[in-house]
Amino acid sequence: MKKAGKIILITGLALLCFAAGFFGRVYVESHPVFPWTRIYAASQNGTELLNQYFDDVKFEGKVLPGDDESPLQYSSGDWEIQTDAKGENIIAIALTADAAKEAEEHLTTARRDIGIVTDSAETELEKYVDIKYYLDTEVTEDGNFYRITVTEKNNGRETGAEGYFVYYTNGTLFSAAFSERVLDFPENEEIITPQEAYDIAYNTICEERKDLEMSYDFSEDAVTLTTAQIGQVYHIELYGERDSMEIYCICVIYACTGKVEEIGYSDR
Amino acid sequence: MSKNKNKCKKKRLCFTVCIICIASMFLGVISAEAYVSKTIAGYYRSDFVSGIAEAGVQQVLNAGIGYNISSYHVDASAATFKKSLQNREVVLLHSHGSTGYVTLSSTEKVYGTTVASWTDTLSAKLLYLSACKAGAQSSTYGFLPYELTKKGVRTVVSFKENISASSTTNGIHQFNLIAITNMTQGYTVSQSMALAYTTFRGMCTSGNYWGADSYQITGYGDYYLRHT
Repeated sequence: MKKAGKIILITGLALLCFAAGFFGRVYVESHPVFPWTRIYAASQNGTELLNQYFDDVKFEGKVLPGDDESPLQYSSGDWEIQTDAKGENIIAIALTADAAKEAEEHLTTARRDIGIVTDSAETELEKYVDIKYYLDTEVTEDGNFYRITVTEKNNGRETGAEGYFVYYTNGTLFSAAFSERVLDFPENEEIITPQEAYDIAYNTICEERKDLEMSYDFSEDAVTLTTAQIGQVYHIELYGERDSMEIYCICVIYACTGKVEEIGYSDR
Repeated sequence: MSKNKNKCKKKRLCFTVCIICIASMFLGVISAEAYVSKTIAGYYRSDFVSGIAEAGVQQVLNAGIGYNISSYHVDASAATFKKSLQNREVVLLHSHGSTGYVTLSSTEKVYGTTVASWTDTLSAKLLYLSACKAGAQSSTYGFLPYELTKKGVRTVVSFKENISASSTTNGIHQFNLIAITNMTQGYTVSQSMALAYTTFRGMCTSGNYWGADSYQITGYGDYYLRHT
């Protein structure tokens, strides 16, 4: 009896300790009154970010207790470079104009000016395709990268030559994809109108998807003429309804012949 | 003599109990870690295709990188979804969506404003929202990915425009799968998405990227699936 009591007591204590460990861990992981995990993440991120950009300086994460907004910093005399609290952006703070200039030089090496990176992307495309017309460039930033699309255009019409580039924000090229020019001008005169293209798309979808209640809603915005690897095509956006759910449809049609190339649906 | 023996016995017992308690606590911590880490959940609707919610989860499980606890949720409730965001490392969703929200079933929606009202902290490291326009900001329904990261989700991948697929090319599903495959190969989310899109552009001859060009990453892009 005495022995059984002991076993029960030890088992109980063991279970209690297991529960304390388990729930304690979950609590620390998720509870907002413990911001330490987040601070640690910011600290790690900020340190990595600074070390990535400044080869000549070794940064170490430093978090001031009780303050989760504390940035990581490196200072030299009267200027300093920091990351923000999340460790995502680099900020320079300077006390004098001269110091600001010095800090700015350091920052420039960290994050390449978007104009320089754009020029670099255009030069890359020119290496691949003999560019005859002007280049149109679009840039998207997603924190870690500049995503750049360079498109060759003639009188506002795409020629098919296109480059897609992903650069790290310090200007290093990460990945790229190219497509060659498929059209030389003068343009093909036999091109169907956007309205005709829309009608073809609408009728084809009505025939193919009897389960959808299609809405006819032609507007200039619903039809885009673009140049792809297979030539000039219309991209046509339409909407249908199934069980009160709006279904998006996209139809690709050859601009010269009106032949349907492909149709996509949001529920496929 | 007998008193000494008893004392010694008691000491030994106390020592054993202490060791057992410490070991149990240690086991508890490890179990808690396993409970949150290396786990993956897929969400989809019964009246929709499962897409990445099934194929992506399988891809991660089959990659042999240590992810072995998974759950699939069909027509789930917002409460279940929230729970997964609290106790799963990775959540992959394919569903119908629109500006500011995603749907979990024909009746259940998760708006940006819904997430903003949650009081719990979320601990998922990656949430992949494969749904039309769920990444776009709505003045009525809020900004879903932003609210999710604000509540603690480390990285949210979403799309700002409509996404689609055809029966022949598999469209957005193919893109999503390339992205997840890249993640299983040690690339960060940022790198995986960028690489996937570069690859995908090469595959799309008609210049229609099935909405893949509207992908966005909210939160930290440096998350990666850990290999064991």
